[in-house]
Amino acid sequence: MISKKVVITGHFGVGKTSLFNRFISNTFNEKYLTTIGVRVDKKMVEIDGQEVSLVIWDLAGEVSQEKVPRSYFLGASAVIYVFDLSRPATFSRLEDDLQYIQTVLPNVQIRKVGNKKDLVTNETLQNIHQQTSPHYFTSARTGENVQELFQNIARAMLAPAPDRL
Amino acid sequence: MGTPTTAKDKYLLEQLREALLHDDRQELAELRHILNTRKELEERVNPIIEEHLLELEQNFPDTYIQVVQKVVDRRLKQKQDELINIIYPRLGIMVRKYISDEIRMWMERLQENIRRTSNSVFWWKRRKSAAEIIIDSSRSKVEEVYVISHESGLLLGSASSVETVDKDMIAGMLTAIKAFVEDAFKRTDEELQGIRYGAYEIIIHNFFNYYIAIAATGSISEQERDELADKILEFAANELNHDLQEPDPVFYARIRRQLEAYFIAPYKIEAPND
Repeated sequence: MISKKVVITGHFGVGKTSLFNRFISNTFNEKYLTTIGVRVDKKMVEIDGQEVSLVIWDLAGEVSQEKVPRSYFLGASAVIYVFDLSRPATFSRLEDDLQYIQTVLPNVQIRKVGNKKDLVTNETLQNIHQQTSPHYFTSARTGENVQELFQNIARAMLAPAPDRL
Repeated sequence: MGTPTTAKDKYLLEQLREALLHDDRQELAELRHILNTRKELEERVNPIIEEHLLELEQNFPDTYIQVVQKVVDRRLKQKQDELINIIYPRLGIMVRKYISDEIRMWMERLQENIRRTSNSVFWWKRRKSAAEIIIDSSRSKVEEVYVISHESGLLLGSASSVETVDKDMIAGMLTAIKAFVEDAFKRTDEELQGIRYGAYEIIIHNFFNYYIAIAATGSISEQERDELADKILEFAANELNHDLQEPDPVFYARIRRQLEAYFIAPYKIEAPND
């Protein structure tokens, strides 16, 4: 069985922990809860009969070097960068943040995820899509695309070497 | 000249060949004899081989040293992690052995001085200090042991005498706490070596790209701590002396068995017989 580290990061209040909870235990906590530091949990994902253990690090708050220990990112096979579709400020520094992640982890695969899809209109989604080219639009509240996101990551880990995370 | 057809023609042709090729045929026969007789061949070939070997021996450093260096350099770069994983615990063992030998000698000198200057009967009777007797009565016990990748926090192996929450989660959180402490105090050359709460202690031994964490209960005496450290180094030197980047299921199973044998089994307390 393969074990891989996946880091969830992004600005405060974008729904990282809600995505984490939705994926790990299929629940959504209505109460706003800021994570302190980091939370680690794991979930087995089965892809075509093969199991992948995703050890997920839910990092609190910011992406920047000053706020989160750089070592939290190390050894990760994938990084999920979450932003809030209803708050443009959370993806205004997207390119800088991604650049920082790539500096720390040059070969890591990154999934850009616009969360809180349930709070915005289709027109807004289209605009944001043009600006950020995200891999997924998700809603931790309804669970939309959450399983698909993690399934996609797990599948990439089982892919042959060039495509592998 | 056409093809000889009669016996006479053939005889004459052979006579002609013999006259023309006599010397060559003799020489060829001699060469065949040399080639087919090992001793003859050795006598002629060995000096040449020896001459070449001598030349190679004398000129090898100049001619091939750069090639060899390049090969060695490339091999070392490819296997850097593996090499460090082999050397790291061995160095630890050597350093520990040196220190313990020095301490032992110092203790022996100290005891000798005490013996000389004190009442010999009193010291002989006492043998153990009160502190040692108390420590003996509250023996420590290794409950869990983990081998964890430094960077990713992924679990490489574990063994436990008690049921705990998910071990992958413990490995991740422990790595996060460790990273946080090391980062918060900005001591890049220092590493967290333990966490203590109540009668529970997590002893951490850091290696190049992994660390070993041992959760123990009870009072751990300095002697036990030393023994445990020796055992950790021995385990690392014997079981983790190769590349740990892509471990396979066989590796995981072996590490679990060995962790159990090294750390859990020796500390198991036998249930009293009724």
